[in-house]
Formats: sequence, C-alpha cells, structure tokens
Amino acid sequence: MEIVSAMALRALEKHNYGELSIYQDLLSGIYNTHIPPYGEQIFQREYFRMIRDPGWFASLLVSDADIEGYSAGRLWTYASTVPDTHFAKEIQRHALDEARHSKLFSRMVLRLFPSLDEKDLREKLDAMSPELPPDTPEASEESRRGSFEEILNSAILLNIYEVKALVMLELLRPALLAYCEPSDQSWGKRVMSVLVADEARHIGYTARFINAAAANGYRSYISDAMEDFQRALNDVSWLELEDTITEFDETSEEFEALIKR
Amino acid sequence: MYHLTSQAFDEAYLQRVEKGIRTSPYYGDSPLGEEFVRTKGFSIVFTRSALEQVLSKFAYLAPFLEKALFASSNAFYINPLVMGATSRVDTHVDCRLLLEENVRIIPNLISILYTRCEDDIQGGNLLLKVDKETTITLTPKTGDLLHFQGDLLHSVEEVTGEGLRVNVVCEQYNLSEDLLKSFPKFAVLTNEDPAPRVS
Repeated sequence: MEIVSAMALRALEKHNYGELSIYQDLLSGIYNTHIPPYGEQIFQREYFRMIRDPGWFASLLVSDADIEGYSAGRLWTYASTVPDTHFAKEIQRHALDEARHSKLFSRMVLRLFPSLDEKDLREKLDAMSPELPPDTPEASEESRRGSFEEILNSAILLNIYEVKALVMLELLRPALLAYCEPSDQSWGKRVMSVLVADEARHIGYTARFINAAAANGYRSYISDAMEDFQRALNDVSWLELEDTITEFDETSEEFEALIKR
Repeated sequence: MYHLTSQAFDEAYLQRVEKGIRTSPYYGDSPLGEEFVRTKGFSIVFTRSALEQVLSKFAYLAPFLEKALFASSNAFYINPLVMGATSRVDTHVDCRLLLEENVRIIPNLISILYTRCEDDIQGGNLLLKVDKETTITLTPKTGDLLHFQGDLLHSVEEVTGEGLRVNVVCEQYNLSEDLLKSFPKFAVLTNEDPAPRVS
C-alpha cells in the first residue's frame, strides 16, 4: 500500500472509527492510481531541504495559521447551510478545530522564534484566527440548501484535503521537534498529538459519511468524484511545490549574496 | 514521524564515506550500549562550535552533514555503524548522560545515511515504535537518507546472510545554553575509550 492511504487508514484504525471497508477500498484505489505529490520522494526531499531553514519554517507556521483560520471561517459558514443536521454539527466542530489549530500554529511561531514576538506579528496572527462561538443555532429552513450529491461532494473534498493535512503534519512533526529546545519538547509533542488526532477525526467523520453513501448505491459516483478531485488536488499541489521551491531558492540565493557581500 | 529520501547521494560519495569509516584508526567494536550487539564503529561527539574542527578531521562527513543538519541543532553524536551477519540492535531510545549536570538528554532528531545495504543481507529492518500499538518497519537501501524524531523507541532486526550493512547515524540536539556547556565540545569515542570528555 502506498504511504498516503496507509497513513490515513492507520490514523482511522488508531482512533477507532469502526468499519469503513468500502471507504478504505476507494481510498487505496484512488491513491494507487493517482499518487499524491506529498506521497512522493521528491516532495519529501524538497520539503525537508526547505524546512531546515528557520526563516522558511517560521513563514510556513504563519502560513498554516492563516490557512487554518481561513478554513475555519469557510467551514462555519458552510455548516449553516447543510440540511443534514448531524453532518452540519460535525462540520461546525471541524470549524472550531481549525480555529483552534490556527491559534496553535500562531503559538508555535512565537514560542519557537521569540525574536519574532513583536506587536505587529501578534496582531497579524490574532487576525488570522477567527473567534467562533462555541455553539451555533441550526440552519434555518431558508438557508438550508444543496442536494445530497452536493453534500457528498463536499464530504469527499473535505476528506481528501484532510488526508493531505494529516500527511503534512506527519512531515512537520520531526522538523518541529528538531526546533524545540528541551523545555519545549513535551509541549511540542502534545501539540502535534492534538493536531494529528483532530485531523484523524476530520478524516473519520467524512469517511463515515462517504462509506454510508457508498453502501447505499453511490459507490461508483464516489469513485469517479474522488478520482476527479484527487487529480485536481495533485495538480495544485505540484504547482504549489514548484512555486515554493523557486521562491525558496531565489530567497536563499539573495540571502547568500547578502552574506558574501 | 520520519522523512526518507532515496538515492540522496551518488555511489562515489557513499564509497568514500565507507572507506573513511573502515580505515579510521578509531574503528573497532562499537562503543555504544549493550543494545548494539556485534556491531562495529566509533562515535564523534561535538557541539556546533566545533563543526569546522570535526570536518577537518572527518572531511568525508561534510556532504552528509550539509544535507542533514538543522540550523537549530547545536550538539551532535555521530555514530558510524557497521553490521554483519548476526549483528542486531535491540530496542532502545537514543539517550546520553551529561555527567556534570547529571541529566539525560534525548535527541530532537535522528538522521541516518545508509552507505551500504547489500542485497545479500537479510533482516536488518529498522523498526520504529510510534506508539503502543504501532510499529513502522523500514527496509533501508543503499543511498537512503532517513530522518526520524529522536524520542522514538527503535531497533534493528538481526542481520543474516553474507555482506555488510554500513550506515552513519547522526543524533541532533537542540540544547539550552546551560546544557550545552556540559556537552563535550569535541571528542571521539571508541570501545577502549567510551567516556565523553568536555574538552
């Protein structure tokens, strides 16, 4: 089994998400055919090369804080339109997790790079993490919209994004711990455990939704949609990697030139 | 948990590293703990301030360290390790005692360069115990560069068959100023002289 679905399925098993055999088959099938960049050697090699650079690592954490915060807001809004109240509640909980993750990434930046702890950055980081209410009323009849297929598409998209998030966390973990002084080690491990468990939960609730739909006649539909979405996500991920490497190398060259001057 | 890069270095470099290790005057039975059964090698212990000195003595390590070291790491244990038939490494966590402070330290990150993993060898898989239920099994190949988090319990299965397994392990530490003072600046440890000295 290739590494990406192996990681996702291991996380589901570890957190006892129960019987998801149809989902497991679908996921393995898609990743065997369309190996995601983040499961490829070149991705891991370049990621590791860049993450050793403290400046790049700090900017990655800031970017993660931003993405998690943005995603929290979008999910929160989306949840209020989902007709399936149980699934809507799961998405709300997911949104709360993402908001918390944004704060955790912000804390990582300031704790591991105390020299960056200035008013400007603190304000920027605060602005990235939305304050979501702990509970939100269910969607009104008027705001509920979306066919079952649309909701299913959302579940599939969320699922494959969360699998990517889990893999990225597993790549981040050893690097993050490499940046921790002894006094930060147990904190670093705790934070990573929380993040990984949350991502496993996000994969889990969407996997359950997908598995149930597949068992009720949507298997072929899901397989096609997963393939389309994963192919698109792979294209985007390759472009992101290419841009990141170019930017990193240009910055490094500029930096080296400055040093040599 | 880990990063693995295949074919991280060319064959000529891998041979240079192996030659450097096996012709070193420090090469002999491994000075590491009793978990290292019938392994050979030596250890180089140093802080970042002595990196230049280390590389002038062990120049063949430079390309490996250039690719593996984190800027945040400030202290290192490097263990060249040669394994043959019946060698094995029992389950352990890499851990060093700082005598002056009487403190045990665990590396932040462990980086391993596999310079030779012969096809004839059987066994020798690296087992990483991620948690109570999960163990990841890795089968290293020549040229692999592996990094994994330093607090993982790990072991190497017994090697069987003819041939050698040669690798270089680098434990990377990010120590506070206080602990760094107790860390040896630069020392080479052998089975005859296994105690690190602050020098």
